[in-house]
Formats: sequence, structure tokens, C-alpha cells
Amino acid sequence: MTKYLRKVYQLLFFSFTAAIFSGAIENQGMIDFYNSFHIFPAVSNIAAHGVQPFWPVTLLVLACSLFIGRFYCSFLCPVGFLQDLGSALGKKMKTAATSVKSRRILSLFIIGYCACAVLSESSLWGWFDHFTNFGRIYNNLVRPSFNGLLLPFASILNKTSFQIDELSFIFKFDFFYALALFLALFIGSMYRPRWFCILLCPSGVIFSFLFNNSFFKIIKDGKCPACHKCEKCCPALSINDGAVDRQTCVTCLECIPACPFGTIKGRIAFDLKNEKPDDQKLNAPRRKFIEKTAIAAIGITAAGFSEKLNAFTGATGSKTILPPGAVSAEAFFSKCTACHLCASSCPTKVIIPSFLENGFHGLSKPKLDFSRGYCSYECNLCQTVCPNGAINRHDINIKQMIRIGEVSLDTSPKSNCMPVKEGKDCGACAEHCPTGAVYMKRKGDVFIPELRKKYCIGCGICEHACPISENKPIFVKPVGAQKMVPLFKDAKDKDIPVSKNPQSRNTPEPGVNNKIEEFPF
Amino acid sequence: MKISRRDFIKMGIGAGIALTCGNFADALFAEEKKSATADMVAIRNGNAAQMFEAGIKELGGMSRFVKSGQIVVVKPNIGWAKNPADGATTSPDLVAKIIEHAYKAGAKKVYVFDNTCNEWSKCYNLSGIEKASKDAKASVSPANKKESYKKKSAEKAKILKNAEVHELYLEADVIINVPILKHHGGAQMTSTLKNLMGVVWDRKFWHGNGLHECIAEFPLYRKPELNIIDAYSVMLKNGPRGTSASDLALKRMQIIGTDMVAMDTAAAKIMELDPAKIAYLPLAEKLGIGTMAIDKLTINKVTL
Repeated sequence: MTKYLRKVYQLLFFSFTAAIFSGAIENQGMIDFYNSFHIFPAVSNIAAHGVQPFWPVTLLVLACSLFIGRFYCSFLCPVGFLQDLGSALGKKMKTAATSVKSRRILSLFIIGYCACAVLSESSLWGWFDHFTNFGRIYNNLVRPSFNGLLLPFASILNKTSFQIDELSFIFKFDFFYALALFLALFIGSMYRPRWFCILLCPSGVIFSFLFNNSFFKIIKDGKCPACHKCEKCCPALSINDGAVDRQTCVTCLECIPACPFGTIKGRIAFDLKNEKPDDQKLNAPRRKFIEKTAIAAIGITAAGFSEKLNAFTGATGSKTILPPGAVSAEAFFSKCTACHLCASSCPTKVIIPSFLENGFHGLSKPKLDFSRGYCSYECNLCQTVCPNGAINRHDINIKQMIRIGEVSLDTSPKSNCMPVKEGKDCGACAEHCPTGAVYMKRKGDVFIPELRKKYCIGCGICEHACPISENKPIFVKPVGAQKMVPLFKDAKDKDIPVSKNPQSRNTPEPGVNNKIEEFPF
Repeated sequence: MKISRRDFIKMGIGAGIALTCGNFADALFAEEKKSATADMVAIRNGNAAQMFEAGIKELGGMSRFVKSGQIVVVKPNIGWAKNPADGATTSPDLVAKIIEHAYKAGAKKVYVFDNTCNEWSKCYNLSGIEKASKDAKASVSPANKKESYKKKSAEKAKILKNAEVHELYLEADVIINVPILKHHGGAQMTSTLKNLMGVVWDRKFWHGNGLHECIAEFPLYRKPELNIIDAYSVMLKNGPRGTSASDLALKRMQIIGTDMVAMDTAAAKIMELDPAKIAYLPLAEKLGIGTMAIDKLTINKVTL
């Protein structure tokens, strides 16, 4: 029963994850609720922006592990789910899997490193964080594959409101990273179940620490006839002759009902001194060694941080266009861990992972590629979903004034622009411009585009809409720091015909009977 | 001189009979005029739905265009993620009214779609057309996937020789084209002809190879059976998206008819533009899509 209950939980949470990542859920509250489950992004967000509305959930996830152990890992975590699938296949294929031995030094190193990174506003913890890594797998591997599976049904689905995306693999660094990680998690778990949770996951270290010092224990109580049923059902293979290894146990609670003799029991014991794990009875030299390692980890992080500071000294801003609310490359790259939640949920799919355009600190971080799409004027979903506050959150009317890039237009005689080069009307850039920064002006027989640069927010829709495929006459350049632009109010355009009857130029108000216009024909 | 609606209808019928009897030579048009009373109906001084109600009655009712069991496509302008009050998209009330009339005339199914310029879900939602259409029991299908478009070719076309056209536009029995009248930075005016740009996949080809020529040639693929121009609130500048309420003029008009060129000619006059200078209109006339000589047509004018 517990076994199925756990799978239901895992599936539900995975569906929740997919709904958030696919952009199907746009509700701020639901998204905040989801994000508050993940310890590292949630804490990092609190560190950057203060207390978040769902902070009690974050606290509850932590507190939970004091009473029922690694509940998050076994019942919710999508990376854990992925590994459980791998180990289930391993069991079917009889791969003779064995348990991973926990490595305290490695765990200490990782937790020291990640904690320091979070505190020193460095995003380097993302390389270990399970949520970030899951996001990368989802965005670069799972989502495009899922779309591919639905593609044969496109013509049926497209007549309904359910729209599927094209096969959208981007065969660059992040695809291969995601593929390698997926294979490592899935195939690795066939041989060493839950290896990531036990060896690398920084959240796992925290949960494991809390569980080890918790009130909840899974113990062998009474006679064990060594039927090994508990060992067989354990997804982490952490039971040996009925004894549970608490370093590797993820408290899925499956062993308790699996024991036919009722020997394995979960028990709440408020006496903390009782049953100290073996490995805490360490000898002095070894303890010192661990201390040294932890210090080393802190040192390394500090070094990494200072190196990062160096990297940005004298920086000339981003070489890519960043999501609205990222402020600047410096601010953004120090917070963004590249979980790709913004990229995955972006309705126009303009956000893609970058490569080394901005150096190592910009690796995999989101950028806007206007050849793929444009930043939708009415949308601020990337700000809403960002789990660690790297993209600052704004109301939509504020977001509509944030300049993320700067338009550049060439209508000189050697330009590629349709009306200039071929003398044919086009107007694609101006018709799409949401701010009035690009408009058409009559020049001879045709209308050519003109700029009112100070209203441009760099959404890139002009570049995206321009029919010229190479050397576009209109394109958007990155800016050093994102700033607010004024709103374009009614401009005095003499070249555009305006009604001669001033009375008719009103906003439509249904019910108000103005002067009845005569038919001009 | 003011004339009542009843008088108007009487006069219209009279004119229709006179035309039918007097013009035997024009056999091609004669058939159409037997059932109809006018080439085109222009209505003013009501809201969009009221004006349609009056106008379609004047034109002989929806049953003239939609027969029992037919599949109908209503193609409004949903191009932009704007509110109905912004005047960039067709009035949702009008779309709902058209759907209602189509079902009353016996339509089997009514589809509503547009290949939007902005992200489709925002356009469908903000324009209010998705909700209005669904409430009127039409099937709303986003047209943002290439798989839904089929390659077609037109022999008479010089530039738009091939086009990927939405399958619903090709398969439906009846097409009802419902543009909102607006200024357009590139084409100068968006009306019935320009609105059909929303049923093709590759709009960039139009922009990149001669916008006016492509607009004029597209009806060679298929002409809508009925057109309704929503000229309630007309965007006179900064179109087709508009930047503020001052771009709009409250005209409270509507044109219903079958000849797109004639309707667009009349619409240009509402926009205070010279129809001859909107390059795609003379081009379309030359291709035989319709006539720009609206003085020679019977235009029934209705004032509510």
C-alpha cells in the first residue's frame, strides 16, 4: 500500500512539475507554492529578496525530516523519481545492484561549498543542486522528446485549443549535458540506486543530517528470521540483514509493511542519545581530517567567489540579451543557476541556454534569441516562475517599460530593407512594434521605417518579424544594464492621415451617442 | 432627408426588382440579385452586433450564405494581444452574433481562427474572441502550427504562386471574413483583403516579396463567401497595433457584402484615404477580384 501511495505522490508531484515547466500554470500563487518545496532555490530566493509568501512550506519540508525522515526525497523529488525508475528497471533486468557507500567527506565538501555559494551570492551551487539539474534535463531533453511523441497527432490536436510545440532540441552544450546527466541518473541507478541522493545532492545532505538527528527511527525490533524481504523492496538498497543504514536510507517506509514478522518498525523516540549511528563514534585524527576538508571546501568557494568578482571587474555588460528583470549580467549571473524554468515555460520560446558568450559564469544561463521568437509584451512569466529570484519580479505594466535591448535600424541606400532596396511596401517591423518605437514614414512612393529610440524596450519583435533572412536591417543589440523607458504617448505624425473631424476622434464608449457620422460613399 | 428603416427596405426591394428586370444582359449578376436586394449594405449608428443584425437582414439573411449542414469558418482579426477597446481586434460581440446566425441558418459546425502576430493564447484571451466564440458554441482553434497548413498554388498569381493555406480555410463550405478596419503602417489599410493574411503560414514571404501584390493575389486561392467590416471604432493612425486611445475614431459603422474590393474601397473612404492610392486595391481589381467603382453599385445604407 505504502509502495503505491509513494508512487502516486511521486507521479502527482512530477505532473505538478511538468505543468509548471510547460507554462500551463501561470498562477503566481501556485508557482510560488511549487518553488517553495525546493530547499536551495527557496533559501537562495529568501537570501536575495527577503521572506517569500510560502516560506512556511520550505520550513515544513525541513521540519518534516525531523519526524518522518527524507520525505521530500522519497515522495516528491523528481530526480529521486527518475532514479527510482532506473532502479526499478535494474531490478527487472537483475543487474545485481548494490548500495552506494555514503562518503561523509564528499558530502561535507558539497554542503560547505553550496552553503558558502548561497551566502556569498554566487550561483555556483547550481551545478550540484538537484532541482537545477532536473530543470536542465526537463528543458533540453524531456520537453522536446514529449513534443516529438505527440507530433504524429498534431493535425488532430491543432484543431483544438491544445497546441503542441515542434520538435525543439537544440543540439548544443546543454543538450549533451542533460543527456549525460539523464543517462547517469537513470542507468547509474540500475546499478547503484539513488546514488545522486546519497553522494552529491546538497539538499540530500541536509535532509540526511536532519534525519540522522531526528526523533524518527527505523529499527529492527525483535527476532529477524532473515527472509530478506525488506532488503528486496528497499529502493536504495540500504538494508543489510534487517539493519537499516541511516546514511543511505531515504525513508520511503516501504520496508515496514514489507516485513512479514513485524520486526522492522518506525518509531518516534525523543531521546536523542539513544542509538547514535556508528560513524559518529569517530576517532580523533579522522575527525580532524573532516574538519580540514570542510575548511578546504569553504576556502575553495571563497576562492571561486573572488575569482568571480575578478571576472566582472571592468566588465562591459552582457554580450547576450537577458530576460526582463535580470538587471545586468553581473547581478543576473550571480543568482541564476540555469535551471531553465524560464526557458521551458516561455510561451514564445525565445529564451534558450547560452554557451560561453559571457564566459564560464554565463554558461547555460538563459538568453533571448530573436531568430527563434520575441519577448511577448503582455507576458512576464519568466519573472513569475524564476525560483531563486534571479529575474526580478515586476507587475506587467512595469515589465512593459524595461529595456532589455536596443534597436538598431539601417535604412541607408545600401540597406537590405525592402522599401529601400526594392521600393516595395513592407512595414512588418513597425506593425509588430508594441511601444511605438518603430513607425512608418512616407518617403516617395513607399513607407520606410523610422525609429523613436527612446521608447524601445528591445523586445525583438521587429527583428523577428523582418522578412529579410540575412543581414537584417533591423535588429536588437544587448544593453549594459536594463533600464526603464518612458511610455510613448500620442506622437505628432504629420505623414499619417488623421480624421479631419475632431469630434469623431473619441475613445469608443458604448451607449454614448455622439454625432452620427455620414457615409463618405 | 431622413428615411425610416421600413422605407429603406421597401426602396431596396424596389431597386432590386428594377435591377433584376432591367438588366437581363448581365446574366451573371442577375442570379445573385434575385435573392438579394443590394451589392453591399452599409450600416451606421449602432453597436457592432446590432448593426450586423440589421445588415444581414437587409442582405437577405444568413440563410443566403449558409445552408443546412455546412461547415463555416469565421475569420476575425485576432492578430494582436489587445483588449477589444483598443480597436486592434474584431469586436467579440460581432463574432458571437455571426456565429449565432450561422448556427440558426443550419451550420453543422463553426470554426474561429486566426494566425496571430502575437503569441496566440494571449491574443485569443485578451481580445475576448475566444470566450465570446466558445460561449456561442463555436470551435476555437489556434492556428500557430505549421502542420495545419497545406501547400497550394495559384496559376494566375505572379508573385504569390504558392502559399501554405490553413486547412480549415480550404476545407470549409463557407468562409465569413470579419476584419476590423484599421490603419496599417505597411499596407496603409487593413480590411477584408488584408485580413486574409491571417490564414496563411508564411507572412514573411508577403512582406519580403511585395506586400500589395500578395494581398491582391491571395483571393485567387479562395474568396470568402461573406465579408463583414467592423468599422465601429476605427484606428486612423499608428496601426495596426495602435499606441493609445487617441489613434481611434468612433465611426460606428459596418459594411457587409461579398465583393471585397468594393467593400475595401468604401472602407478606405471611411478611413479618409484615397482608395486609388492603396496599391493593392487597383491590383486586385485588375485581377478581377472585384470592382472599385462603387458608384455603380447598389449600396443599401441603413441608419439605426
